[in-house]
Amino acid sequence: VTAPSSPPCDTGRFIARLGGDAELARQMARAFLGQIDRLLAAVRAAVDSGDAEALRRAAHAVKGSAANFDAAPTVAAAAELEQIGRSGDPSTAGAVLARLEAETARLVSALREFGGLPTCAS
Amino acid sequence: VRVLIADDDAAILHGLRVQLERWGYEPIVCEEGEAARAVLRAPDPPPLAILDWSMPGADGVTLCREIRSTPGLDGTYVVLLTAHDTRDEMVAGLVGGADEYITKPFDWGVLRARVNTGARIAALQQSLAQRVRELQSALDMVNKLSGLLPICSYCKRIRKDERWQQLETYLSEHSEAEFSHGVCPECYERARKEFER
Repeated sequence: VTAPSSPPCDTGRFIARLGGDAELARQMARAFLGQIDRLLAAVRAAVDSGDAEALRRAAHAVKGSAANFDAAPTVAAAAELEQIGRSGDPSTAGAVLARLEAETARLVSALREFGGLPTCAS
Repeated sequence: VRVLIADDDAAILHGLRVQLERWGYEPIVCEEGEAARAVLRAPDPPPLAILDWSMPGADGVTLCREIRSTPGLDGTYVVLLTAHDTRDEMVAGLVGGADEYITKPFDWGVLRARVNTGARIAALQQSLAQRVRELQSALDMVNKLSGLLPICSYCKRIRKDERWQQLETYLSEHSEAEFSHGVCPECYERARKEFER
């Protein structure tokens, strides 16, 4: 479990993996910001409806998408939800969902700053 | 070289498009599996495909199985890109027919090397297929020459499709042989005598 104080993402590592292209990294961050609300809404809907398979898929999508930015805390929470979905019993997902939402909010604000977008609270 | 890229993650898809163009490839961009399937089923499909495992429409592993079981597509070099990172999942992806399995997050330099390998193998496969076609057509020619030829005992012409053809015309059409014309000493003597008469 990642401590809540750990950084939401590691853009330095992300840029290094991209071969040093910071501009492309910023473009990708903006593309991520354009889709994360939709991905997170799908996770929430799956938890609310108790649909384990939908939860596994939706959490997996958040995990993969956040992994690009070396966003360890978000990836960890999403992976936990994915595992809960795989277990077939999403009744325990509430607390993890709250953590995923908090971590994603931190990630979004960090990536907005990184991407050169206004960092208003969402 | 054209490369099919299919991923429902807009950030990855954007990165793939920009990087592949930079690396000298021609990306064909699909946001979900059905669009990717349509590209693969169209005439002259791309020799390389980078497929996300989880995406709406058709997932990458399903597409990979379809590629492997479709004659003409089965030589496609497939890189499976995925956040499925357990050992069992990796084995399942490779057993499903992927040539490469890369987990997110990945190093783009490694992806580039894999794609270059794929392009080299796809090119080798294409040149081998071309060579086989050439050998096959050469073999077809040899087969034609080794058949039973009806030949006239006097003028040595050959019957083909109800027509009588000069021997050299026939051989030129059915082999790589070419003729240079001359007169042998005996025929020369005979022709000279006939001419003198």
